[in-house]
Amino acid sequence: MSSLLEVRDLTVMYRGRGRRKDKVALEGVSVSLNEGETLGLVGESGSGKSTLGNTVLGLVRPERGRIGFDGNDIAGLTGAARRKLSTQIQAVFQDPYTSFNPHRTIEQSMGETLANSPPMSRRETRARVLAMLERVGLDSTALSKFPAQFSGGQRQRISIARALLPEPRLVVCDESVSALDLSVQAQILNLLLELQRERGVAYLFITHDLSVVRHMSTRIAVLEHGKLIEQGDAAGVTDEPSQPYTRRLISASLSADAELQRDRRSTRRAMTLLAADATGDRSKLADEVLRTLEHQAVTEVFAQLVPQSRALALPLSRGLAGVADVDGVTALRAAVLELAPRTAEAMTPAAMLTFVQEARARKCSALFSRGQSGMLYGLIRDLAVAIETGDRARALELVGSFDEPLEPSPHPNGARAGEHTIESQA
Amino acid sequence: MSAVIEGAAIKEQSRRAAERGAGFLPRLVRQPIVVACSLVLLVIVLACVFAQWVSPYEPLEQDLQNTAAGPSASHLLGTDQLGRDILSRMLHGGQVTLLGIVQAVAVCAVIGLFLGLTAGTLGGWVETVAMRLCDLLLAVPGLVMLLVILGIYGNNEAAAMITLGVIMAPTLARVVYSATIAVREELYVASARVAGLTSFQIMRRHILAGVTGPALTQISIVAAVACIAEAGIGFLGLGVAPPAPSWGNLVTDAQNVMPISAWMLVPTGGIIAVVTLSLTLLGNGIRDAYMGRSSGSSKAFSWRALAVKVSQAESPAGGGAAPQGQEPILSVKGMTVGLPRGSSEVTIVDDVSFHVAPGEAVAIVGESGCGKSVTISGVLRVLPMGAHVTAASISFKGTELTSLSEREMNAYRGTGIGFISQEPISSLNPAFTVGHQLEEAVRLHRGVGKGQARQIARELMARVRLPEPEAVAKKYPHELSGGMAQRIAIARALAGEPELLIADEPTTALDVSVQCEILDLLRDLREQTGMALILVTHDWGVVAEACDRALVMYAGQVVESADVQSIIAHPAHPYTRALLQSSSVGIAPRQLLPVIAGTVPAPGYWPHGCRFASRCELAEDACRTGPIPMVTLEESSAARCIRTDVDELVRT
Repeated sequence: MSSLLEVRDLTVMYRGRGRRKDKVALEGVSVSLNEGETLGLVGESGSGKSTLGNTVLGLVRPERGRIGFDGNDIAGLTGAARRKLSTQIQAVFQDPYTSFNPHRTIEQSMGETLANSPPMSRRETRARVLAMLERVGLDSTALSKFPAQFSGGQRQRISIARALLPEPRLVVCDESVSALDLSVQAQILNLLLELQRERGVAYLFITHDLSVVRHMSTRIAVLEHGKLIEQGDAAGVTDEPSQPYTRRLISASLSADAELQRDRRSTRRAMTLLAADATGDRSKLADEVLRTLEHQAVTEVFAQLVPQSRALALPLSRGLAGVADVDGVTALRAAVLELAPRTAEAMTPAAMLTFVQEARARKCSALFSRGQSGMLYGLIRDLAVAIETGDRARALELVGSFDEPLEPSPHPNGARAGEHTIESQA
Repeated sequence: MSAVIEGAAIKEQSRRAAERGAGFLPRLVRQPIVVACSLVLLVIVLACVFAQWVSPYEPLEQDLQNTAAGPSASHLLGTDQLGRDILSRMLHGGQVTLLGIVQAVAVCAVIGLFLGLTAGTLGGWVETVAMRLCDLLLAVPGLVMLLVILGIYGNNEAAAMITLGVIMAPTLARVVYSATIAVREELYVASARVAGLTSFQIMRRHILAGVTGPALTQISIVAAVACIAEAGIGFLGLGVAPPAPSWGNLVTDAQNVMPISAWMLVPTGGIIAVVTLSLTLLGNGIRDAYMGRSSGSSKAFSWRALAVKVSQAESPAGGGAAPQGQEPILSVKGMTVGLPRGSSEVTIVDDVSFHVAPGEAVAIVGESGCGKSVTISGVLRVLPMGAHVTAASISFKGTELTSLSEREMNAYRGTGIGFISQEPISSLNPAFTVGHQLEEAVRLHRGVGKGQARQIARELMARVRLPEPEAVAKKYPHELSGGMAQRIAIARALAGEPELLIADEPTTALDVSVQCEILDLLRDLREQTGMALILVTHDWGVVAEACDRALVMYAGQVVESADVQSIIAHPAHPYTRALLQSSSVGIAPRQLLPVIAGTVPAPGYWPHGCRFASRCELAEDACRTGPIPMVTLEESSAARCIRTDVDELVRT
C-alpha cells in the first residue's frame, strides 16, 4: 500500500525576533503513514511533535523538506490550494476549552469545516452536522448551544465530530485526550478507534503519554529535540526499543503496577548509590545494581501484555548444545536483562554499565569455577518456563536465587534484595 | 500559596458560572445598570434628534417676562438671562453636541479598528508600520493640535471633532491590536484555518467577535471623552457661534448668569454629566459581559461573606477507618465543604473522614469535579469567599484546627503543613528572583536574619538537588523549566520544616522523566525527615509510585480507602475498579477499552442513594434508596459499597 502521508527530511525553523535566536524545531524528520492507520508521535515537551502536526496542517511553514499527501507535495502550499485540502486533512486539538469560539454556537462552529466542501443548502448542512453529532453521542439540542455549556469530554466529542464532518482521510490528533480525565479519556479513545474502523480515516496521533500511544498506534515515531530518534511498528518500538532515549522514556513512564514501580525504584536507587559512591566498596554496589536490574527485568516482562521468554531461549539452547564455558554462562545472565529491553542496560550510564558487566563476569566465573554453571542453566530454564506459563511469583523467586550458592548470607545493602534471598530460602 | 489553591477553585467556579449563561448579548442585557444607562441615552438621543417637534419653544425664542428664572410650569428647566427656554435650547444644542460625538467616534472607530485589526491579523511589516504610526500619533499633544485646527478653521465644530477622533484613534487601535493578537493565538483560530476558512472569513467570524467587547468598551470611553471635549470647546467659545446653542455654550451662559441665578448650571452641567456617566457605565457593563462576569449577586461581595466560615459539627460522623497504633498527624472527621452558588450554598465535599500517620504517604485519587482539591483546601482553610467548612474534627498533631481563628490558622500553613501546587511556575511570583522568594519564606517561617536565611535557602536548594543553586537563585521563575520550578516550590514548602506536605497534582504538568525525578525526590525527603505526604492526583501510576495508602473520591465522598498495593490489585468499589480498567494498561492495543458510561454528577445534583449507582453494573434497588455507609472490609480498608460481596465474585 502506498503511503497516504509521506514526510521527507522536514526541517522547520522558528524565526527569532529581536534578540531571540532562531530555533530549529524539526530537523530532517521523515515519517510515513498509510491510509486507515495510526502513526503515534511521542516525545517530551520541546521535541517538536506538535510542530510536525502543525506543519502537516499548514499552520507552520517548513524550511525544507517534502510533505507528500496522496502523492502530491503539500509543503508550503498556501491560499486556495491549501484551503482545498481542508476536506482531506483535519485536526482535533488538545484543549477542549479553547478550541471553540465561545461566542459561536456549536452548529456555527461545526459548519465551518464544510466551508470547502461542495456547496449545499442550509438544511443539508444541518442534517450532516446533526448526523455527525449523533454519531459521537450528542443530540440536536447541542446545535444551538454554546461551547461553555458542555463538559470537557463532550467538547472533545464535538471537536471530533467537527473534524470528521467533511470525511477527511487524515486527522491530526494533537494531545487530543491529554486534558481529559481517565474515564473520559477511555471513552474518547474508543470513539476514535470506532470511527477509524468505520471510515478508514488515518490518524497522526501526537501525545506524550506512552500507554495511550501504544494503545492507539499501528506505527510509532519517537522525537527528541526536533530529531527523529526511532520509528517502527507500535509493538516493536514499545516492547523492544532500539534507542536509549526511547528506553528512558518508557522506563520513566509510570505504571499502575505497584510492584513494578517498586522494582524500578530500587534499581534507580541502587544506581544512584553506585554513581555517587566514589570511595566505597564498588564491587558490592555493582552486585546490588545487577541484582536489582535482573529482578526488575523479570517484573517488566510480566508487566508486558504478552510475556515472552524469547530472549532466554537462544543463549539457553546455544549453551546446552555446546560446551558450558564462562562466556556461555555470562551470555545467559546477560539474556535475563534482555528480557526487559524497555529498561535493561540503556538505563545505566556507560560507566555504570562497565561496573555491572564486571559484576556479571565476576559472578559467572565464580559460579563456573565452583562447577555450578549447570545449576544456573537449570534456574534459567525454569525461569523461561515460569515466564511462558505466566507464573510471576515463581519467576521472581528464581531470579532472586541466582546467586544463592555464592552468597548464602542476606545482602548487606538494600533490604529488598535481602528479602528475596530469605523468601527463596524459606 | 493560598492564592494558588483559591485560584483552582475559583477557576472551576467561574467555569460553572459561564456555563449557566452563554452569549454576549444575554449577559449584557441581564445587567440592570446597562439597561438603565441605555434607556437614558436612548431617551436623550431621541429627544435631541426630534427636538423640532419635542421642544416646547424655539431655541432662540425669548420670554422677556421670565429672564434667568428657575423651573416653572411653562419653562420646565427655567430660562436663561435672555429669557430663552433652557430645555428647548438643551434639546437643540444636543443635536450639535451629539453630532460632534458621532463624528469623533466614527473617525476614531474607523481608524482605530482598521489599524488594530490589520496590524493584528496581517503581522509582519504591516504590524510594524501601523503600530509605529500609532506611536507617532500618541506623541502629538492632542490639546495643542485641537486648538491649532480650531485656529485654522475658525469655529468649525466638525473639524474639531474629526481631529479629536484622529487623536484618540491610536488608543483604540492599541486595544484592538492587543485583543486581536490574543485571539490570533487561540486554538479556535487554528481550528478555523484547518477548517479551510479564508483570512477574511476568520477575521469576520472569529477575530471581530473577540475584539468587539474590548473595542466597544474603549469606544464608549471615547464617546464620553468626546462629549466632554465638545462641551469644553463650546465653553471656550470655539465651537458653534452663539446664539446657536450647544451644551458647551449653555454652560458658558450659565456661568454668566451665576451671580443672578445659580440654577442654570444644574441642568446644563447635569446633562453632560448624565451622558458621560451613562456612556462610562455602559462601557463597564460591556466589559463585564464580555469577560463573562456575572453582574453580581451583591451577596458575594458583602464583607461579611468574605471570610471562610468554619464550624464544628456536634457528633463525629462515622466513616473512615479509625486510625490504629500511632497517633495520626492529621485526622479529619466528617468534614463537609460548601461553596456559595448564587444565593444558596452547594456542597462540594460531603462528610469526608481520613487520617494521615506520621511519615505516611496518602493519595487522594479521583476525577476532576470529585472534590479532591477542595478537600485539601478545606483542611488548609484556603477557600474562595463565602465558603463554609463544617467538621466534627480536623486535628493536626492534636490541635483542633476548626477552633482556631484565621490568624492562629496562619501559623500552621506553611510551617506545620507545607503545600505545593500543580503549576510550579505560576505559583512563584514573576517579579522576584526565586532565591529571593525562597529566602523570604525561610525568614517568615524560621524567624531568622537575612544572612542566615540566605544560607538556609542554599541548603534547601541543595536538598531538592538543584544543580548550581547559586546560579538558579538569581533567576526569575519564567527562566526555569517546569521541573526546576517544581523543585524550587518544594524547597519553599520545606522552608517551614513541615511535618505534613500537601501536594496537589505536583507532576501533572511535567514531562515523564522529570515526573520520575520529582517523585523520587519527594520519597527521599520523606525518608530523611519523616514528613507525611498527602498527594492529590488522578494518575494511578503516581499513586503506585509515591504512596502507601489511597483514598478514592467520587462526587464529594470518599468511596474507598485501602493501602495502595491492595487497592490496585483488588479494588473493592466498582468505581475504583472501573477507573483502574479505564487505563489502557493490560488491554490489547487498538481494542476498545472498558469504559464507565455517563459522567460524574455535578455538585448539587447528587442522588440520595449511592452516587455511582447510575453508572454501576452491580446497582440494585437497595443502592438507590438511601446513603451508603463506608463498609469496613479488612483491618485497614473500607469501601462505600453494599455489594462488595458480589465484587468478590467479579474479581475472581
